[in-house]
Amino acid sequence: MTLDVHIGGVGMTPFGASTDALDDLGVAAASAALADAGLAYQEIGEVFCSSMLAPPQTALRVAHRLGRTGVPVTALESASAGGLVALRHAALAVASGRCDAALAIGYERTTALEPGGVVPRPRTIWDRMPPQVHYGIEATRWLHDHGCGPEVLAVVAAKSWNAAALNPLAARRPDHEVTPDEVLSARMVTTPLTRMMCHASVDGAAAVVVTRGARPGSIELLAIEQSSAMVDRGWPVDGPVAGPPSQTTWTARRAFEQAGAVASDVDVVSVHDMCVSEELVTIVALGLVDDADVVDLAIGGGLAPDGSLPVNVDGGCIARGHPMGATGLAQAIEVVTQLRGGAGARQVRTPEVGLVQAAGGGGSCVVALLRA
Amino acid sequence: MEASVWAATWVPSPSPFPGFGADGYAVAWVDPRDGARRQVLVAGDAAPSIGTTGTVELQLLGDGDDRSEVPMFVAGAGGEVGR
Repeated sequence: MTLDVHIGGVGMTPFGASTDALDDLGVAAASAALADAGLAYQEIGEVFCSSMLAPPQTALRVAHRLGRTGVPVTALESASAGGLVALRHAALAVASGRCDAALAIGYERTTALEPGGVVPRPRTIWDRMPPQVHYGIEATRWLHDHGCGPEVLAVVAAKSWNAAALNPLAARRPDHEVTPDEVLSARMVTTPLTRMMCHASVDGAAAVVVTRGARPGSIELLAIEQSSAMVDRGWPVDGPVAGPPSQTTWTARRAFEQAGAVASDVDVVSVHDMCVSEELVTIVALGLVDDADVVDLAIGGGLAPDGSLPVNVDGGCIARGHPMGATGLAQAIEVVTQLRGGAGARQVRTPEVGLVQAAGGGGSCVVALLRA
Repeated sequence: MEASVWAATWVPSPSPFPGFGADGYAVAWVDPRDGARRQVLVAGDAAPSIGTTGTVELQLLGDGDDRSEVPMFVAGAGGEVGR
């Protein structure tokens, strides 16, 4: 049984370095989403806001600038998964009958901390490590297990950079075709991952309006499932590490079951790609491609907008950018845009079903399925 | 504690750990003979190859109040290393 809720409107700011205050970013994205939905803020029954670093009470300030309507406003934090966690809460607010329309907003400034913003103090020595390190370990093992070199990672990263060139809201928009050699020759961050294989920390905001019933241009949210990391003896959880692939698999199974869909139904995908290796690991964990076939799929261009399994065709965290609390909503917006057929030069061929997956540090995972 | 390397990475920038890896450092996930996989720093100036065996020892890093006990992997004799 599906949720009987729809994504009625979407909006986001350009991603990149911004001098705008978080309030301004959040209001801009929310206003764009409301306009896209054809709704006034007074028609919104609940608001859910996601950020990791925002000063306290930012959610209320954003909502109050949109209108002092007295509706519940809830701030939440779930690292990189926060945006989709907010979307899930908005969907459940509508599905439960509490309201007919709800708003999910994500905003973040990472290039310069908002005055009053929250910087987590390291609790353990591992919290001081760059978050890319555990992806470097995982990527090293992945390459070993698949009998290939970092060239396959470079091909996937180049795909994302070149897709971002077609996305006017992306943070990293190359003015030339990025080649795998260029990706490989970039500065090494943590072996085997170069800077061009790792996410771009940026500023930005994104918002989604969830409504009961279909509206012009709306996209049905078939399912949205969330989990926290369960025990996996092969996955240490020291420092800012996301949950294991087994958690993604478990969450996706629940989402497919809820949606009454199967992996082969999926036409367009957005996954969390803090580093490029995560894209490959995740599409296997989601059941979208067999592990034995994933290298050939990637090298053969299968993940590009015109490929057989288009993934992160907005540039992903690598090139669209990764303003943590807003990222999940930006991912959902890209899939909605694709399902509407409005993605322009990066449009995927006639997609009907899309999948969005986010994973956050600390072990939160969300998988959503959407249908045109 | 004896362990083998599941995988490791080399970070070619100064370590955030006081008194360790000023020119870069390696971090590994290792499989102890008994118990779950765990994350460790690696002694030396290179990342150990997958399957390298050695021991995990607790070492104190840092000074004064900024002092922490950290699990450190030390490759055994003949263990392969390489960036």
